[in-house]
Amino acid sequence: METFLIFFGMALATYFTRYAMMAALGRGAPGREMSRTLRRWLRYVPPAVLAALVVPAALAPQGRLEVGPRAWAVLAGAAVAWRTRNVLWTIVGGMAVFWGLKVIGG
Amino acid sequence: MSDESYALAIAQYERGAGSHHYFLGANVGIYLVWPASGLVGALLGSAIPDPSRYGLDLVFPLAFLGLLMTFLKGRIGVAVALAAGGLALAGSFLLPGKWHVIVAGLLGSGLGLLLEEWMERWRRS
Repeated sequence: METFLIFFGMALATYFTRYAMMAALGRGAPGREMSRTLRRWLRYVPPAVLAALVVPAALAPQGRLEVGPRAWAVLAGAAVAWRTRNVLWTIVGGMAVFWGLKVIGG
Repeated sequence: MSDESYALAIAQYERGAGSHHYFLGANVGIYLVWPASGLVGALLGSAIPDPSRYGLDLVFPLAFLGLLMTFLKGRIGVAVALAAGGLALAGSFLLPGKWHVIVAGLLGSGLGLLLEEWMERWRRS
């Protein structure tokens, strides 16, 4: 029962944090166009957040610095991503290197 | 709207091929796959004792990495990604939970704004 209360609470929290920003910045409200500064700032949110998700997962998967299979896999993935600009090939290349290193390393 | 479908759609917009149809498709796709995968996980999950042994958790950062490339067009984009990546790594040792993602995201994107304003002022002078 408590689990379902938590599910419900988190659903509300997720919904309203997302909806609040869309409602605040959304179209249809005259005179509410985003300022140039805000637009510029928001444009750099995706690269910043994506890099913030990728780098710790590559170099500190267990919460401490370690240059292991995950780091090499992400590096290989970066090379594939740079060449192909394709998300699926990036996953395939990265996982191939990860599993290859696991097989070699035992 | 989910993190993954948003990232996918915003990357498509960045390539100039984005549309609300693409966004809707990405969201409908994840709404179909997510509960179905959740059900499979609930039924069969105990058969795989530790998914991180097979590195399946690595799929998410790799997918985000693929999307990240789309945003590295200019020098500012590259600087933002490097700064945010470094900050997030340092923050992951210092901050509890996932706060390093939020802090690095805000500081990194703020840096992008500052660099762009500076470059514009420098060009004008």
